[in-house]
Amino acid sequence: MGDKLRGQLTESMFYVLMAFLQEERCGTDVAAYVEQRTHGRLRLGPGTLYTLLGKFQEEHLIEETQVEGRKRTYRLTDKGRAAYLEELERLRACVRDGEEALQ
Amino acid sequence: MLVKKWVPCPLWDVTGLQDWLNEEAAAGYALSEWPRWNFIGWVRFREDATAPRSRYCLDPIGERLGEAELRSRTGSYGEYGWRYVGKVGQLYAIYRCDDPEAPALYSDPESLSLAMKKQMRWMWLGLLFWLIWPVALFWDEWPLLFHYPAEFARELILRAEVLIPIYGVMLALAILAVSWGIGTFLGVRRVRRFLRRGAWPPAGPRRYPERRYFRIGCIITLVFVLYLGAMLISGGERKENLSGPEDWDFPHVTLAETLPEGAELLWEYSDAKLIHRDTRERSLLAPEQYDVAQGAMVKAPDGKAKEARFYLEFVRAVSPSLARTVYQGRVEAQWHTLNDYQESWVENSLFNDNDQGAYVFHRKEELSWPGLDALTRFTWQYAGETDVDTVYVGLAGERVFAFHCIGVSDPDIALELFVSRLDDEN
Repeated sequence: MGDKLRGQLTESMFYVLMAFLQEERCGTDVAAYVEQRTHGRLRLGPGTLYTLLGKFQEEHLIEETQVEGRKRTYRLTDKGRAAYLEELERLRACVRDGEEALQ
Repeated sequence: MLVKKWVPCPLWDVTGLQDWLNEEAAAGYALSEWPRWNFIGWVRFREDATAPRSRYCLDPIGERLGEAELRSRTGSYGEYGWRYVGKVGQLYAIYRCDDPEAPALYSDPESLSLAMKKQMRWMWLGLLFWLIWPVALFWDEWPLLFHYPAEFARELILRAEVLIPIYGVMLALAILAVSWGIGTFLGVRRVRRFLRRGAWPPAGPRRYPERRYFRIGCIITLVFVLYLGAMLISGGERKENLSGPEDWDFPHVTLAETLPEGAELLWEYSDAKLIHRDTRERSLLAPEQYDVAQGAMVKAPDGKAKEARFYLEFVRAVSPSLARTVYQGRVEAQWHTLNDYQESWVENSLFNDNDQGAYVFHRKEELSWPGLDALTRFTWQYAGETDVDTVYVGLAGERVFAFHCIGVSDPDIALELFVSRLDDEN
């Protein structure tokens, strides 16, 4: 997919994947989770949210588990979890490098 | 109250369009309708007291067939306070939000770039269409243009008033349409490049391009229609039928003059028998164009009754260089016709009685002749016939002639006489 998924994830992508770590969620739940998790710093626009959900689904990072009318619920796949952990490790390395540079 | 407003920026300029819609909303105008015929370049707004509190956002449309994704998005966006208003062609869906607390449709440029990915695929197909379309538009003309350019140029000279405006208008409209298609493709690609780099694309300058394209297209079409109307009304004056040699107001020879010594005209053919009508045409670049024919049953010098036919074309162009083009085109057309007949014969060989080919021989010779600037002779003998057909195509200053002698009619007598009459005219 996305050019971004071949390399690092954007902040929005990272948080959307994070939202599925513990439980299955629908789109509005994801937006609410991200806003709460970032203490309002990151508010996902609906265009951003549904574009990312569509792309993640295409890339098999998440999969649909339930459809009730317009409400669609998704869960993280193993591939999605691996992508999330890979990004987390990259960010840790960035933070480590940054802190070492301060010392 | 509805108000029409011209779109100030190109349709691909997502930031420019969004800014414009939001400015209009701040001024109290809510978007009422984005017309289906968006190429006209205007949009309808209505005065709306709630508009200043609203915002507009554009969402790239990734589908061309059906609207399933659009409907699904519209439903989902509705939960966030964004409602669907209309579409900018097949490029963007327009959403309006009256809740100042609601987040923008796209909170980061990268996701908008992802949303445009499918759109880019369609744009590639669109670009391909805009490149193929002119090829299809001039489909009949390309072979003539590439394989027989002199014939094409000759046609332009002989039918200048009709063909030059027709081709000119077609070319102008094709250039307008293609430049619009390519411009839109490059514009969308430029927007996406900005987004992929993580930056919001800046709004372009407001030059009202759709209105400009539409007006130019309208003016070209209107002028062309008026011109065609005038041409149709005056059409009868450009071409007239001639009743006989008494109307041939150009240097000419008659069939009787081309007969060899001892031959005698028995009876002349009618136009119906010849399947030919003598005509005089004129164009701006070739004011005199004659196409005449004579046919007769002749008592040949050997006493046998034989057929004789004499077809004569004469063109006077406005300059020797144009006449030379007409001459080259006529030579090319003659050779082209002879070779086409040969090819057609080969293609249909299963249905022909003999398989020796269309001709016993056919040849083209460039000759020099006193008093003429150029002369080409074509001679051929059809398979199964004894007579030789001859066509002379010649050029003298701004005059071009071609005559075709069949049967007892003697081409060399005709040529000698014809050239002396051209001299007499000088």
